[in-house]
Amino acid sequence: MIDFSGAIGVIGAGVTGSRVVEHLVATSSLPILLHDQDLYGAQRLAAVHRSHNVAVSVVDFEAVSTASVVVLACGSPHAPLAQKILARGASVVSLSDDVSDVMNLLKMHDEVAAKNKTLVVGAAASPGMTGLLLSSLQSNFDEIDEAHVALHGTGGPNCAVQHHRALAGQSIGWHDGEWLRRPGGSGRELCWFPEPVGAYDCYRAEMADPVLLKKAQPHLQRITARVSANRRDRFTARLPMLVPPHAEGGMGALRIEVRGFRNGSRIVEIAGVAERVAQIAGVVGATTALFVHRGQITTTGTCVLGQDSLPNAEILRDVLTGGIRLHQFVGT
Amino acid sequence: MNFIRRVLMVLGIAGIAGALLRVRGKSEPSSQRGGWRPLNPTTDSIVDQTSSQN
Repeated sequence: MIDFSGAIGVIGAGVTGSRVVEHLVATSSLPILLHDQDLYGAQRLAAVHRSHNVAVSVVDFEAVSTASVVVLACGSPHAPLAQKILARGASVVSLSDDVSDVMNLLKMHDEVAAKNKTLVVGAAASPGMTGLLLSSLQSNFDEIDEAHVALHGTGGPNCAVQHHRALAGQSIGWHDGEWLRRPGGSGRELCWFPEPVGAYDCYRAEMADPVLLKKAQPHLQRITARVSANRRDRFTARLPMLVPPHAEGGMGALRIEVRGFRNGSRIVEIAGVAERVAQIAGVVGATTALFVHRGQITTTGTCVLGQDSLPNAEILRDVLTGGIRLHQFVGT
Repeated sequence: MNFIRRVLMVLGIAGIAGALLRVRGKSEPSSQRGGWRPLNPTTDSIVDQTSSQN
C-alpha cells in the first residue's frame, strides 16, 4: 500500500466536504486524499482542484486511512468510521452534529488516548464554531456560568435531514447540575442573528452543542441550544421529509450568548457569524485538521473545540482569516 | 343541545376576545436597542471592554 502519511484525508465529497477540500487547497500545499461512496462526486470534486498546485486524489477507504489526519465530512454515524481509521493509525476530525453519534465518539476517549492519537469531536459550525466563540468570549469575563446557542440554516442535504430530525427529537440542556430533556420544537425564543439574516424564532432541538460545550467548559451551570424553525418545520417535524432537501441551504447564521460576571457585575456578551453553514463547518473542520496535522493540537484522546487544552484563539484566528466574519452584539 | 350551545358560545366569546386583542391590542416597543458590530480579526480583539451589558 502506498504511504500517504504526510497527507490529509477527507471522507465526504458533498457540500461540506467540498468546502473542507477548498479550504485545505487554499491554505496548504499538503496532498489531499478524498474518499466518498459516490465515486463520481469525489472525482468531480478532485477535477475542480486539478489545476491547483495541491494534489487531490480520489482513493478508497483503506488508502484514506493512511493519512496523518482524516476529516469526516460525510453523513452520520461517524463513530464506526472513526474507530476503523484510528485502528489504522490516523487522527480524526469529525464534523458530526448528531447527538447519539457525538456521544459514541466521546465514549472512545480511552481507546484513542491508548493509541496516542487525537479525535476532535464536532469540529463544524454548531457544534465547533460555537466552542471557539465560547472560548474567546470567556476572556471578557472573570467567570462564566451560562452559554446559549442558536443556529439558523442548514448546510448540505444531510444537514437538512439532521435539522428536520432535531426538531422532532428531545432537546438536551444543562441546567444547574442536571441534564434536562424537553421536546424539540418547544421553548420559542426570538433570536437576532447578524445581518443579513436578522431575527428568527428559535426552538429547542436535539442538538449536540450542550454536550460538547459542557465537555469544553465543565463549570458552566446552564447551557441551551436552539434552532430556527417556521410553522411548517415544526408541524412536519414528526413526519418523514415531505420535500427533498435543497442541495445547499441559503445564508445561515449562528450566535452564542455567554453570561457571567466581570468585576462583580452580571454581564452578557453575544457573538455571532452570518455565513453559509457548510462554509463555516468546512473552514472550521479544515483548520482543525491542519492544526492536528502540524502537531499544534497535542491533546490525545477525544477533545472538543473550546476546551482549555486546545489552542482555541489560534484556531479561531485562522478560521477568521479563512473568510468567516465575526460579529459582536453591541447594545442594551 | 345545551352542550353544543355552550361550546358554540365559548368559542364565540373566545373568537371575539381574540379578534379584539388582535385589532386593538398594542405591543410595547422593545426597550432593547443595539446592533451587530463586525470584528476584524487583524485589528480588533474579541476582548472588548466597551461591549454590551444587558
